[in-house]
Amino acid sequence: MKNAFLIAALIFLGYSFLQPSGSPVPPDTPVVVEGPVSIALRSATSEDRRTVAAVYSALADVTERDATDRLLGTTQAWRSCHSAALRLAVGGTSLVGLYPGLDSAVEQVLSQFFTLDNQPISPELRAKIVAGCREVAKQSGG
Amino acid sequence: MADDYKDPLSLLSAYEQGLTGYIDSPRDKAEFMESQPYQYFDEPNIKDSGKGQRALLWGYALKLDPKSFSERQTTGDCVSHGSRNARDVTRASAILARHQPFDWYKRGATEPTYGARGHGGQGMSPAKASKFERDVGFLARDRYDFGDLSKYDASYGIKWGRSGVPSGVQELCGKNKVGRITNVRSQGDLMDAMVNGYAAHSGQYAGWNSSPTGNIHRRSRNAWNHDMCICGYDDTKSHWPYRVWFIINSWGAWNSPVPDWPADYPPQPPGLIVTKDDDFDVCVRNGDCWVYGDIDGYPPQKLPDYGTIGLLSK
Repeated sequence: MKNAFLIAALIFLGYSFLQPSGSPVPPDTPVVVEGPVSIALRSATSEDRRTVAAVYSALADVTERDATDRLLGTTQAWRSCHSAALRLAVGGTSLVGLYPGLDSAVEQVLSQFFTLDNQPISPELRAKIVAGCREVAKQSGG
Repeated sequence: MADDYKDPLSLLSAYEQGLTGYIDSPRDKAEFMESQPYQYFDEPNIKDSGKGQRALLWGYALKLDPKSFSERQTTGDCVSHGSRNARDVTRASAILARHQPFDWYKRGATEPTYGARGHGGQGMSPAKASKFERDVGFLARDRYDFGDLSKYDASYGIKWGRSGVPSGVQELCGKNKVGRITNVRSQGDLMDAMVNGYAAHSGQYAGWNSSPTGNIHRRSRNAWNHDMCICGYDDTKSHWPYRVWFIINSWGAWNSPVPDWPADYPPQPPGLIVTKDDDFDVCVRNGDCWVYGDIDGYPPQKLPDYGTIGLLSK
Protein backbone atom coordinates (compact mmCIF):
# COMPACT_ATOMS: atom_id res chain seq x y z
CA MET A 1 0.00 0.00 0.00
CA LYS A 2 2.81 2.38 0.89
CA ASN A 3 4.39 1.58 -2.46
CA ALA A 4 1.12 2.45 -4.30
CA PHE A 5 0.88 5.96 -2.76
CA LEU A 6 4.56 6.45 -3.51
CA ILE A 7 4.06 5.47 -7.13
CA ALA A 8 1.00 7.80 -7.45
CA ALA A 9 2.85 10.72 -5.94
CA LEU A 10 5.78 10.16 -8.26
CA ILE A 11 3.47 10.09 -11.24
CA PHE A 12 1.67 13.33 -10.12
CA LEU A 13 5.07 14.94 -9.49
CA GLY A 14 6.29 13.89 -12.91
CA TYR A 15 3.06 15.09 -14.57
CA SER A 16 3.35 18.47 -12.89
CA PHE A 17 6.81 18.88 -14.25
CA LEU A 18 5.55 18.07 -17.71
CA GLN A 19 2.86 20.86 -17.66
CA PRO A 20 3.82 24.05 -19.50
CA SER A 21 4.54 27.07 -17.41
CA GLY A 22 1.70 29.49 -16.63
CA SER A 23 -1.96 28.61 -16.00
CA PRO A 24 -3.15 25.45 -17.71
CA VAL A 25 -5.85 25.72 -20.48
CA PRO A 26 -8.87 23.56 -19.73
CA PRO A 27 -9.66 21.33 -22.71
CA ASP A 28 -13.22 22.79 -23.23
CA THR A 29 -12.19 26.41 -23.42
CA PRO A 30 -13.04 27.65 -26.93
CA VAL A 31 -10.53 29.33 -29.15
CA VAL A 32 -12.05 32.56 -30.44
CA VAL A 33 -11.23 33.32 -34.06
CA GLU A 34 -10.98 37.03 -34.80
CA GLY A 35 -13.51 38.45 -37.24
CA PRO A 36 -16.70 40.55 -37.52
CA VAL A 37 -18.69 38.26 -35.22
CA SER A 38 -16.06 38.13 -32.49
CA ILE A 39 -15.84 41.94 -32.63
CA ALA A 40 -19.62 42.25 -32.33
CA LEU A 41 -19.56 39.83 -29.40
CA ARG A 42 -16.62 41.52 -27.66
CA SER A 43 -18.71 42.44 -24.63
CA ALA A 44 -20.67 39.20 -24.63
CA THR A 45 -20.93 36.84 -21.73
CA SER A 46 -19.50 33.40 -22.25
CA GLU A 47 -23.02 32.00 -22.07
CA ASP A 48 -24.22 34.22 -24.93
CA ARG A 49 -21.15 33.31 -26.95
CA ARG A 50 -21.87 29.66 -26.40
CA THR A 51 -25.50 30.15 -27.44
CA VAL A 52 -24.59 31.81 -30.72
CA ALA A 53 -21.86 29.29 -31.39
CA ALA A 54 -24.21 26.40 -30.68
CA VAL A 55 -26.82 27.74 -33.10
CA TYR A 56 -24.36 28.02 -35.97
CA SER A 57 -22.60 24.80 -35.16
CA ALA A 58 -25.95 23.00 -35.20
CA LEU A 59 -26.96 24.80 -38.39
CA ALA A 60 -23.76 23.62 -40.02
CA ASP A 61 -24.50 20.05 -38.94
CA VAL A 62 -28.08 20.21 -40.19
CA THR A 63 -27.02 21.67 -43.52
CA GLU A 64 -24.36 19.02 -43.90
CA ARG A 65 -26.79 16.21 -43.10
CA ASP A 66 -29.30 17.53 -45.62
CA ALA A 67 -27.06 16.27 -48.40
CA THR A 68 -29.10 13.07 -48.32
CA ASP A 69 -32.60 14.35 -47.51
CA ARG A 70 -32.45 17.48 -49.67
CA LEU A 71 -35.00 19.38 -47.64
CA LEU A 72 -32.98 22.53 -48.23
CA GLY A 73 -32.92 22.50 -52.00
CA THR A 74 -32.18 26.18 -52.61
CA THR A 75 -30.45 29.02 -50.83
CA GLN A 76 -33.91 30.53 -50.33
CA ALA A 77 -34.98 27.40 -48.44
CA TRP A 78 -31.76 27.51 -46.42
CA ARG A 79 -32.38 31.17 -45.59
CA SER A 80 -35.84 30.29 -44.27
CA CYS A 81 -34.35 27.49 -42.17
CA HIS A 82 -31.68 29.88 -40.86
CA SER A 83 -34.26 32.49 -39.87
CA ALA A 84 -36.49 29.89 -38.26
CA ALA A 85 -33.56 28.47 -36.32
CA LEU A 86 -32.68 31.91 -34.97
CA ARG A 87 -36.28 32.60 -34.01
CA LEU A 88 -36.54 29.29 -32.18
CA ALA A 89 -33.13 29.50 -30.52
CA VAL A 90 -32.88 33.12 -29.42
CA GLY A 91 -36.17 34.80 -30.34
CA GLY A 92 -37.65 36.52 -27.30
CA THR A 93 -34.48 36.10 -25.22
CA SER A 94 -32.39 38.91 -23.79
CA LEU A 95 -29.65 38.15 -26.30
CA VAL A 96 -31.61 39.77 -29.13
CA GLY A 97 -30.53 43.38 -29.41
CA LEU A 98 -27.86 43.11 -26.73
CA TYR A 99 -24.98 43.17 -29.21
CA PRO A 100 -25.46 45.87 -31.84
CA GLY A 101 -24.31 44.86 -35.29
CA LEU A 102 -24.27 41.15 -34.55
CA ASP A 103 -26.75 40.34 -37.32
CA SER A 104 -24.76 42.34 -39.88
CA ALA A 105 -21.56 40.70 -38.66
CA VAL A 106 -23.01 37.23 -39.22
CA GLU A 107 -24.20 38.29 -42.68
CA GLN A 108 -20.71 39.61 -43.43
CA VAL A 109 -19.07 36.34 -42.48
CA LEU A 110 -21.54 34.26 -44.48
CA SER A 111 -21.03 36.52 -47.50
CA GLN A 112 -17.37 35.52 -47.50
CA PHE A 113 -18.44 31.96 -48.24
CA PHE A 114 -21.45 32.23 -50.59
CA THR A 115 -23.48 34.85 -52.44
CA LEU A 116 -27.08 36.01 -52.07
CA ASP A 117 -28.04 34.41 -55.39
CA ASN A 118 -31.08 32.23 -54.98
CA GLN A 119 -29.86 29.00 -56.49
CA PRO A 120 -30.02 25.24 -56.05
CA ILE A 121 -27.68 23.97 -53.36
CA SER A 122 -25.06 21.81 -55.05
CA PRO A 123 -22.59 19.70 -53.01
CA GLU A 124 -19.96 22.43 -53.50
CA LEU A 125 -22.32 25.18 -52.38
CA ARG A 126 -23.43 23.07 -49.41
CA ALA A 127 -19.80 22.77 -48.31
CA LYS A 128 -19.42 26.57 -48.51
CA ILE A 129 -22.57 27.16 -46.45
CA VAL A 130 -21.39 24.66 -43.84
CA ALA A 131 -17.98 26.34 -43.75
CA GLY A 132 -19.64 29.74 -43.33
CA CYS A 133 -21.71 28.52 -40.40
CA ARG A 134 -18.67 26.93 -38.77
CA GLU A 135 -16.75 30.17 -39.17
CA VAL A 136 -19.54 32.07 -37.39
CA ALA A 137 -19.45 29.47 -34.64
CA LYS A 138 -15.68 29.81 -34.32
CA GLN A 139 -15.84 33.60 -34.19
CA SER A 140 -18.51 33.27 -31.50
CA GLY A 141 -16.12 31.17 -29.48
CA GLY A 142 -17.55 27.78 -30.26
CA MET B 1 -45.90 37.56 -86.43
CA ALA B 2 -49.57 36.95 -87.03
CA ASP B 3 -51.40 40.22 -87.41
CA ASP B 4 -54.90 39.57 -88.62
CA TYR B 5 -56.13 42.72 -86.91
CA LYS B 6 -54.00 45.79 -87.44
CA ASP B 7 -55.53 48.13 -84.88
CA PRO B 8 -58.08 48.30 -82.07
CA LEU B 9 -60.92 49.30 -84.37
CA SER B 10 -60.38 46.33 -86.69
CA LEU B 11 -60.65 44.09 -83.62
CA LEU B 12 -63.85 45.82 -82.53
CA SER B 13 -65.24 45.42 -86.01
CA ALA B 14 -64.24 41.75 -86.22
CA TYR B 15 -65.86 40.91 -82.90
CA GLU B 16 -69.00 42.81 -83.84
CA GLN B 17 -69.14 40.84 -87.05
CA GLY B 18 -68.97 37.54 -85.24
CA LEU B 19 -65.35 36.64 -84.57
CA THR B 20 -65.51 33.97 -81.91
CA GLY B 21 -62.75 34.64 -79.43
CA TYR B 22 -64.69 33.23 -76.50
CA ILE B 23 -66.15 29.78 -77.05
CA ASP B 24 -69.01 28.85 -74.75
CA SER B 25 -68.38 25.17 -74.08
CA PRO B 26 -70.50 23.57 -71.35
CA ARG B 27 -68.59 20.34 -71.98
CA ASP B 28 -65.15 21.90 -71.30
CA LYS B 29 -66.57 23.64 -68.27
CA ALA B 30 -68.09 20.46 -66.81
CA GLU B 31 -64.92 18.51 -67.52
CA PHE B 32 -62.74 21.09 -65.78
CA MET B 33 -65.00 21.55 -62.79
CA GLU B 34 -65.47 17.83 -62.24
CA SER B 35 -61.71 17.37 -62.23
CA GLN B 36 -61.20 19.31 -59.00
CA PRO B 37 -62.70 19.13 -55.54
CA TYR B 38 -63.49 22.85 -55.29
CA GLN B 39 -65.63 24.08 -58.12
CA TYR B 40 -67.05 27.44 -57.11
CA PHE B 41 -65.50 30.38 -55.33
CA ASP B 42 -67.15 29.89 -51.97
CA GLU B 43 -65.03 30.96 -49.04
CA PRO B 44 -67.03 31.24 -45.80
CA ASN B 45 -64.13 32.85 -43.94
CA ILE B 46 -64.15 35.92 -46.16
CA LYS B 47 -67.85 36.00 -46.97
CA ASP B 48 -69.08 39.59 -47.50
CA SER B 49 -65.61 41.01 -46.92
CA GLY B 50 -65.80 42.78 -50.27
CA LYS B 51 -69.10 44.52 -49.72
CA GLY B 52 -68.79 48.31 -49.52
CA GLN B 53 -65.07 48.06 -50.30
CA ARG B 54 -62.96 48.60 -53.37
CA ALA B 55 -60.14 46.63 -54.98
CA LEU B 56 -58.05 48.37 -57.62
CA LEU B 57 -55.91 45.36 -58.37
CA TRP B 58 -54.60 46.44 -61.76
CA GLY B 59 -52.57 49.10 -59.94
CA TYR B 60 -50.36 46.39 -58.43
CA ALA B 61 -49.55 44.99 -61.84
CA LEU B 62 -48.77 48.49 -63.14
CA LYS B 63 -46.36 49.06 -60.26
CA LEU B 64 -44.36 45.96 -61.17
CA ASP B 65 -44.77 46.26 -64.93
CA PRO B 66 -45.72 49.78 -66.03
CA LYS B 67 -46.52 48.47 -69.51
CA SER B 68 -48.94 45.84 -68.26
CA PHE B 69 -52.07 45.56 -70.40
CA SER B 70 -50.36 47.20 -73.37
CA GLU B 71 -50.45 44.08 -75.54
CA ARG B 72 -53.07 44.14 -78.28
CA GLN B 73 -54.29 40.76 -79.45
CA THR B 74 -53.79 40.07 -83.14
CA THR B 75 -55.96 36.97 -83.47
CA GLY B 76 -58.92 35.45 -81.67
CA ASP B 77 -56.87 34.64 -78.57
CA CYS B 78 -58.72 36.88 -76.11
CA VAL B 79 -59.16 34.05 -73.60
CA SER B 80 -55.42 33.66 -73.24
CA HIS B 81 -55.05 37.43 -72.78
CA GLY B 82 -57.86 37.52 -70.24
CA SER B 83 -56.41 34.61 -68.28
CA ARG B 84 -52.85 35.95 -68.49
CA ASN B 85 -53.97 39.33 -67.21
CA ALA B 86 -55.90 37.69 -64.37
CA ARG B 87 -52.83 35.62 -63.53
CA ASP B 88 -50.52 38.61 -63.59
CA VAL B 89 -52.83 40.83 -61.56
CA THR B 90 -53.22 38.08 -58.96
CA ARG B 91 -49.44 37.55 -58.88
CA ALA B 92 -48.78 41.25 -58.46
CA SER B 93 -51.36 41.49 -55.67
CA ALA B 94 -49.79 38.50 -53.93
CA ILE B 95 -46.40 40.20 -53.96
CA LEU B 96 -47.40 43.76 -53.10
CA ALA B 97 -50.58 43.39 -51.06
CA ARG B 98 -50.20 39.95 -49.49
CA HIS B 99 -46.39 40.15 -49.20
CA GLN B 100 -45.75 36.68 -50.54
CA PRO B 101 -42.05 35.97 -51.02
CA PHE B 102 -42.02 35.88 -54.80
CA ASP B 103 -40.39 37.93 -57.50
CA TRP B 104 -42.52 39.44 -60.23
CA TYR B 105 -39.89 38.30 -62.72
CA LYS B 106 -41.72 39.08 -65.96
CA ARG B 107 -45.12 39.48 -67.52
CA GLY B 108 -46.88 36.22 -68.37
CA ALA B 109 -47.09 34.84 -71.88
CA THR B 110 -50.33 34.06 -73.67
CA GLU B 111 -49.15 31.73 -76.44
CA PRO B 112 -48.98 28.30 -74.72
CA THR B 113 -52.45 28.76 -73.25
CA TYR B 114 -53.93 29.65 -76.61
CA GLY B 115 -52.01 26.81 -78.23
CA ALA B 116 -53.87 24.40 -75.94
CA ARG B 117 -57.32 25.22 -77.37
CA GLY B 118 -57.51 21.87 -79.17
CA HIS B 119 -58.36 22.98 -82.69
CA GLY B 120 -56.86 24.94 -85.56
CA GLY B 121 -59.48 27.68 -85.71
CA GLN B 122 -59.85 30.83 -83.65
CA GLY B 123 -61.26 31.06 -80.16
CA MET B 124 -61.10 29.08 -76.94
CA SER B 125 -63.23 28.20 -73.97
CA PRO B 126 -62.07 29.66 -70.65
CA ALA B 127 -62.33 26.23 -69.01
CA LYS B 128 -59.87 24.81 -71.52
CA ALA B 129 -57.43 27.61 -70.67
CA SER B 130 -57.97 26.98 -66.96
CA LYS B 131 -57.28 23.28 -67.34
CA PHE B 132 -54.03 23.92 -69.17
CA GLU B 133 -52.80 26.50 -66.66
CA ARG B 134 -53.73 24.32 -63.70
CA ASP B 135 -52.41 21.01 -65.06
CA VAL B 136 -49.58 22.07 -67.37
CA GLY B 137 -48.72 25.62 -66.31
CA PHE B 138 -47.67 28.84 -67.94
CA LEU B 139 -44.62 30.74 -69.15
CA ALA B 140 -43.24 34.23 -68.70
CA ARG B 141 -42.47 36.65 -71.51
CA ASP B 142 -38.94 35.40 -72.10
CA ARG B 143 -36.66 33.91 -74.73
CA TYR B 144 -36.67 30.13 -74.85
CA ASP B 145 -34.80 27.56 -76.90
CA PHE B 146 -37.94 26.82 -78.90
CA GLY B 147 -38.57 30.49 -79.71
CA ASP B 148 -38.86 34.07 -78.57
CA LEU B 149 -41.85 34.82 -76.34
CA SER B 150 -40.30 37.97 -74.91
CA LYS B 151 -42.76 39.83 -77.12
CA TYR B 152 -46.28 38.78 -77.94
CA ASP B 153 -46.32 36.65 -81.06
CA ALA B 154 -49.69 35.08 -81.78
CA SER B 155 -48.25 32.79 -84.45
CA TYR B 156 -47.05 30.29 -81.80
CA GLY B 157 -50.50 29.84 -80.36
CA ILE B 158 -52.04 29.74 -83.81
CA LYS B 159 -49.76 26.98 -85.06
CA TRP B 160 -50.00 24.86 -81.88
CA GLY B 161 -53.78 24.85 -82.00
CA ARG B 162 -54.16 21.82 -84.21
CA SER B 163 -51.08 19.85 -83.15
CA GLY B 164 -51.10 20.78 -79.47
CA VAL B 165 -48.44 22.52 -77.41
CA PRO B 166 -45.11 20.70 -77.94
CA SER B 167 -44.06 18.49 -75.06
CA GLY B 168 -40.84 20.47 -74.52
CA VAL B 169 -42.85 23.67 -74.13
CA GLN B 170 -45.26 21.92 -71.78
CA GLU B 171 -42.33 20.81 -69.69
CA LEU B 172 -41.13 24.40 -69.40
CA CYS B 173 -44.65 25.50 -68.46
CA GLY B 174 -44.62 23.01 -65.57
CA LYS B 175 -42.44 25.26 -63.41
CA ASN B 176 -45.36 27.62 -62.80
CA LYS B 177 -48.95 26.56 -62.37
CA VAL B 178 -52.19 28.11 -61.22
CA GLY B 179 -53.16 26.01 -58.23
CA ARG B 180 -56.73 27.12 -57.83
CA ILE B 181 -59.16 28.37 -60.44
CA THR B 182 -62.78 28.50 -59.36
CA ASN B 183 -66.01 29.55 -60.98
CA VAL B 184 -67.81 32.61 -59.64
CA ARG B 185 -71.58 32.68 -59.29
CA SER B 186 -72.34 36.16 -57.97
CA GLN B 187 -71.01 39.69 -57.84
CA GLY B 188 -70.84 39.35 -54.05
CA ASP B 189 -68.50 36.36 -54.31
CA LEU B 190 -66.40 38.14 -56.92
CA MET B 191 -66.05 41.19 -54.66
CA ASP B 192 -64.93 38.88 -51.83
CA ALA B 193 -62.32 37.38 -54.12
CA MET B 194 -61.05 40.70 -55.42
CA VAL B 195 -60.81 42.48 -52.10
CA ASN B 196 -58.60 39.58 -51.02
CA GLY B 197 -56.34 40.04 -54.03
CA TYR B 198 -57.67 37.54 -56.55
CA ALA B 199 -58.40 38.72 -60.08
CA ALA B 200 -60.70 37.02 -62.58
CA HIS B 201 -61.53 36.78 -66.23
CA SER B 202 -64.80 36.02 -67.90
CA GLY B 203 -66.14 35.07 -71.29
CA GLN B 204 -69.55 36.26 -72.41
CA TYR B 205 -71.61 37.41 -75.34
CA ALA B 206 -71.83 41.13 -74.55
CA GLY B 207 -70.36 44.39 -75.79
CA TRP B 208 -69.76 47.86 -74.46
CA ASN B 209 -69.89 51.28 -76.07
CA SER B 210 -66.57 52.84 -76.95
CA SER B 211 -67.69 56.27 -75.72
CA PRO B 212 -68.60 56.80 -72.09
CA THR B 213 -72.08 57.79 -71.01
CA GLY B 214 -71.54 60.16 -68.14
CA ASN B 215 -68.72 58.57 -66.21
CA ILE B 216 -69.16 54.92 -67.21
CA HIS B 217 -69.20 52.74 -70.31
CA ARG B 218 -72.65 51.30 -70.99
CA ARG B 219 -73.45 48.02 -72.68
CA SER B 220 -73.91 48.32 -76.43
CA ARG B 221 -76.42 46.64 -78.72
CA ASN B 222 -73.57 44.94 -80.54
CA ALA B 223 -72.33 41.95 -78.63
CA TRP B 224 -68.98 40.19 -78.74
CA ASN B 225 -67.99 36.60 -78.05
CA HIS B 226 -65.17 37.88 -75.93
CA ASP B 227 -63.11 37.18 -72.84
CA MET B 228 -61.61 39.94 -70.68
CA CYS B 229 -59.87 40.33 -67.34
CA ILE B 230 -61.82 41.73 -64.40
CA CYS B 231 -59.21 43.71 -62.52
CA GLY B 232 -61.11 45.65 -59.89
CA TYR B 233 -64.31 47.14 -58.52
CA ASP B 234 -65.47 50.00 -56.36
CA ASP B 235 -68.45 49.45 -54.08
CA THR B 236 -67.73 52.40 -51.81
CA LYS B 237 -70.09 54.63 -53.80
CA SER B 238 -67.88 57.59 -52.97
CA HIS B 239 -66.92 58.55 -56.52
CA TRP B 240 -69.53 56.67 -58.49
CA PRO B 241 -72.90 56.56 -56.69
CA TYR B 242 -73.23 52.88 -57.52
CA ARG B 243 -70.96 49.85 -57.72
CA VAL B 244 -68.65 49.88 -60.72
CA TRP B 245 -66.44 47.16 -62.14
CA PHE B 246 -63.20 47.61 -64.06
CA ILE B 247 -62.57 45.37 -67.05
CA ILE B 248 -59.34 45.23 -69.00
CA ASN B 249 -59.78 44.67 -72.71
CA SER B 250 -56.97 43.29 -74.87
CA TRP B 251 -57.61 45.44 -77.91
CA GLY B 252 -55.37 48.37 -77.03
CA ALA B 253 -56.88 51.86 -76.89
CA TRP B 254 -60.20 50.97 -78.51
CA ASN B 255 -62.41 53.30 -76.44
CA SER B 256 -62.48 56.72 -74.84
CA PRO B 257 -61.58 56.73 -71.15
CA VAL B 258 -64.19 57.91 -68.65
CA PRO B 259 -63.74 61.66 -68.12
CA ASP B 260 -63.79 61.90 -64.34
CA TRP B 261 -61.14 59.60 -62.91
CA PRO B 262 -60.52 59.60 -59.12
CA ALA B 263 -57.24 61.25 -58.22
CA ASP B 264 -56.21 58.50 -55.81
CA TYR B 265 -56.70 55.73 -58.37
CA PRO B 266 -53.98 54.00 -60.38
CA PRO B 267 -53.88 55.16 -64.02
CA GLN B 268 -56.45 53.82 -66.48
CA PRO B 269 -54.91 51.14 -68.68
CA PRO B 270 -55.60 51.55 -72.41
CA GLY B 271 -59.04 50.25 -73.32
CA LEU B 272 -60.28 49.95 -69.71
CA ILE B 273 -64.03 49.47 -69.44
CA VAL B 274 -65.71 51.10 -66.44
CA THR B 275 -69.10 49.48 -66.11
CA LYS B 276 -72.03 49.74 -63.74
CA ASP B 277 -73.07 46.64 -61.80
CA ASP B 278 -76.23 46.03 -63.80
CA ASP B 279 -74.35 46.04 -67.10
CA PHE B 280 -71.56 43.97 -65.60
CA ASP B 281 -73.82 41.24 -64.30
CA VAL B 282 -73.68 39.34 -67.59
CA CYS B 283 -70.01 38.59 -66.91
CA VAL B 284 -70.95 36.56 -63.84
CA ARG B 285 -74.40 35.36 -64.87
CA ASN B 286 -73.07 33.76 -68.04
CA GLY B 287 -71.31 31.14 -65.91
CA ASP B 288 -67.83 31.52 -67.39
CA CYS B 289 -66.23 33.82 -64.82
CA TRP B 290 -63.09 32.37 -63.23
CA VAL B 291 -61.13 33.54 -60.21
CA TYR B 292 -57.38 32.92 -60.21
CA GLY B 293 -55.74 32.13 -56.90
CA ASP B 294 -52.79 30.27 -55.47
CA ILE B 295 -50.37 30.83 -58.32
CA ASP B 296 -46.89 29.31 -58.20
CA GLY B 297 -44.83 32.46 -58.24
CA TYR B 298 -41.27 32.97 -59.35
CA PRO B 299 -38.74 32.46 -56.57
CA PRO B 300 -36.58 35.49 -55.91
CA GLN B 301 -33.42 35.74 -57.99
CA LYS B 302 -31.57 37.42 -55.15
CA LEU B 303 -32.15 36.86 -51.48
CA PRO B 304 -32.68 40.02 -49.43
CA ASP B 305 -30.19 38.75 -46.84
CA TYR B 306 -28.95 35.47 -45.37
CA GLY B 307 -31.80 35.38 -42.87
CA THR B 308 -30.13 37.02 -39.86
CA ILE B 309 -31.24 40.63 -40.17
CA GLY B 310 -33.53 41.73 -37.37
CA LEU B 311 -33.30 38.42 -35.54
CA LEU B 312 -30.11 38.98 -33.56
CA SER B 313 -29.93 42.75 -33.37
CA LYS B 314 -32.84 45.15 -33.15
